[in-house]
Amino acid sequence: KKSDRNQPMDVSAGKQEGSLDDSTPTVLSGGVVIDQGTLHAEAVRAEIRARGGDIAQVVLTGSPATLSQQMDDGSRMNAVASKIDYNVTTDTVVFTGKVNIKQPRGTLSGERVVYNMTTGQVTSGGEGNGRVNMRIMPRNAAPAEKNKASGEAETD
Amino acid sequence: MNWRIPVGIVLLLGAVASGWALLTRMTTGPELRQEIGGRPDYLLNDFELVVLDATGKESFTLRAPRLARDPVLETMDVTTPRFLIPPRQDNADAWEVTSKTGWISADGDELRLRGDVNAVSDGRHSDKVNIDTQELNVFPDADRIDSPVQVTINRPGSILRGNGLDVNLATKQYTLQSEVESSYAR
Repeated sequence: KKSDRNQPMDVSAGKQEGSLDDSTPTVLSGGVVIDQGTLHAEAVRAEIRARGGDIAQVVLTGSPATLSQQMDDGSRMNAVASKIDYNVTTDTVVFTGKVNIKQPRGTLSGERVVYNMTTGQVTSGGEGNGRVNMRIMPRNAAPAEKNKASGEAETD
Repeated sequence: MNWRIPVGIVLLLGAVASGWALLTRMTTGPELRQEIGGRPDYLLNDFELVVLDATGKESFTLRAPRLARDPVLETMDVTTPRFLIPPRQDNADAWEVTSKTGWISADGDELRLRGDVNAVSDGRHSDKVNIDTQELNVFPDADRIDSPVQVTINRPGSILRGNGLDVNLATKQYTLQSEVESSYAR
């Protein structure tokens, strides 16, 4: 949700190293869980860049790292990737490495996906980033049919 | 009956008893001897103590209502100490550390603070930092503090809590070894 970015970000981890004046990134390890409003992320390791309590960037790595968030329309987005780079300042998330993003309207997978949390815009693939696979669910199909239809309507 | 014999026995017993007392006194460890002694060799009340490091620079200043020095171990026990640790270099901050009790090692290179420990930086060169815990060990000459128990670090915009703190006061690098919870708020 857009309002997520104005919520406190709560982070828990097994271990944390950093500097009291944020002059170096804070490194969290030993299993990291991050919650900010409806946003929930889990990873093996995380790096947080902050300045005076204002978080600028969170980089999560894992096998995979996961991130889920509720959209403004109430639906939920679930994403997995080897690396998730959340730029809080620009409200953009870059997923890289075995990316798979699931939303009610469809799924998207590839090697690199850029997701703008403000506009909801998704950009994927591009030079040297492999192919993109996308499956868009028919809008008016009833849920039962939707599942059946999803077996045939495969676009590549 | 010849009186010399009982007198001799009494004297012998006396000699044995005093010899035994001397022997046990010699083999007792410092703790026991100290307990036997029990009393510190000096007491300070309502004092200010400036401790210098090997180069003659101020290591820290201590203010407290009471300090007692152990004659054997040469350590000091302090009641409600207030330590003022000056900045080590130009762009570093000074720290003030208070607690219920304090213990200072013989050569002043280690302070053990116990009970409602609070360490606060003066925020002159960077964000003010406030550290709260029940146990804090301070190593002024090594510019380091550590704590084996839970510590809470409050900074503008964030609260950090965890166990096993280790901080280098000069570089401000810290590590929390386990159970870390932090909250960043705008």
